[in-house]
Amino acid sequence: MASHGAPGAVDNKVDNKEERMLSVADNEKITRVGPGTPMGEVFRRFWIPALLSSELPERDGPPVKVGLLGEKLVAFRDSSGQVGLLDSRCPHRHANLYWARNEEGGLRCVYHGWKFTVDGTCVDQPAEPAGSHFKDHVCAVAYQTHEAGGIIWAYLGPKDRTPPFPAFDWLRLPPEKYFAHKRLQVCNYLQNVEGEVDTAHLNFLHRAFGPDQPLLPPENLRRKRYFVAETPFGLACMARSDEGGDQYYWRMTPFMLPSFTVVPSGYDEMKIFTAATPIDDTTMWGFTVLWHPDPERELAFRNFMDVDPVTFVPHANINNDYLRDLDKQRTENWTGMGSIRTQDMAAQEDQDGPICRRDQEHLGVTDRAIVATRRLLLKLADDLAQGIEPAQAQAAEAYRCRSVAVTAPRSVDPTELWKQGQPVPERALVGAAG
Amino acid sequence: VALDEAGGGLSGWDDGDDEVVSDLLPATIEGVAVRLRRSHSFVQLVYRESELDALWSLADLAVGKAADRQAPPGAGLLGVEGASPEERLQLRSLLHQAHDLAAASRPAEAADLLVEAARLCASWSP
Repeated sequence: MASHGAPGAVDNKVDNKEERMLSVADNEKITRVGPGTPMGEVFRRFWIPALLSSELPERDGPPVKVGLLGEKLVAFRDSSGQVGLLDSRCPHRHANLYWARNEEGGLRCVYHGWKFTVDGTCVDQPAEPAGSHFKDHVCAVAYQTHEAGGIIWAYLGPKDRTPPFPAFDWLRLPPEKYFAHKRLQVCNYLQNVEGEVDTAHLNFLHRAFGPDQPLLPPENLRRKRYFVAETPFGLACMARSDEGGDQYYWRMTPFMLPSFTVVPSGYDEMKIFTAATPIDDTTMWGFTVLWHPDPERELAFRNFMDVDPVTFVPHANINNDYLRDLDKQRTENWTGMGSIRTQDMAAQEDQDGPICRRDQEHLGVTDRAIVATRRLLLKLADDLAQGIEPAQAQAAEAYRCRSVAVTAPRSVDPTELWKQGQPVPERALVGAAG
Repeated sequence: VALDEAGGGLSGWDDGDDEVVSDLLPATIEGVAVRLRRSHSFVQLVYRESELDALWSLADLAVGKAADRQAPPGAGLLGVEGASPEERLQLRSLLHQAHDLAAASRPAEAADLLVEAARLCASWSP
């Protein structure tokens, strides 16, 4: 019996696998984040979210395991409240510092008692002979941390390249006015980032409908036009739909390097910051922060997504089909899944495995934001390999940005719509007060 | 755009052309070539790369159909029905090269290859 390839399969004898829009090599380059990899180095030029502040609730409390960029680390809050982030391996014989005693200003390895402060300094080696200075020559690998906005951020790059900390918009608010959340997502970080900048999926994956409504959204909403623009922090990814009459509806998503976005919403609506922090090449932490630009307003909701309080695994996950309800899918929404984030996860975690094989994709002109994001990340990786540092890491104030979703007359310049949505510069506020 | 400005402002805004890339007809490919010749900024080249992605996707699907012995007789895509499997591969190869040139900020050379690709398509078009 003659063998047949799967529908759409191509005879390997005549098909050149290198003739792909994103080559296998570029897909490797853009997705791998471990030490020494091109994209791993890019991530190591930015402050990235590492864990929630609430995971280290007390001084001298138990250390927490933290996976970041392929590195196994432990975080702890010392006696003075400072947060340390150390390589989980004790430099002595690699016992895991997760088991360490957190007391009197440092972590003490349970194996032989070596003790380290938050900056990795070894302050005690109790088994060494009297008069030994061995500890003065030993230190643990320690990374800088910065606690802000409900999150403990980390910088894993060279110390002499430490960038200023980004001035995210919610940092000016008191803690009760924002809500930080974290989830485990089982896929490469880029699948999440691409989902965040891809407005085209909005009217399908997140479609909700009533019993008398058609399955597909109105044509004007689903047939959008897509644009991108450069910004000091990365990109603005935009979609425009025709609202009829003289009106356009604009959605503008800031893509802040290396892997942050803000979900589009109205000028006077709650904002949702998203960050995809790679744990390694195939898993990531999905951080979200909810805040309202108006400090007088309360958040519309706080329960972003139900997750296990210890592992941060979402209750609806791939192992239970994301709790898909087939009746609901027939009568209520496109997927039959509960929350928008769950719907996103189903799409992103199951894109042909934890690392999407982009060399086998078929993109169209609606994928402009995806193309722009990949092109920018690859350029940054190539530039850095040539010794050119990413300028975006220095644009701290520009990170204080908001998304936009607005209906406006067709004649209005979209760059003006963007500008109207942005916060008043801090220095202007200071000037006004003074 | 000032780096210390909240939100940062936008640069390189380009409304683009109202392009549709959904076939491999010579006129469609030539249209991308024309736009490529006047594209220079990062944003403009991203738009062109996206159009080249679409052209390549169509060509790759056409290659797949040619090699798929279970495909319905006469299956093809607009613009390549008359092309042999080898010609479809040749077209896809040209589009791939043009794509990579555009991605490398070499739009004129990419456009030249698209002109060649359009000529190839014209040779089998009715």
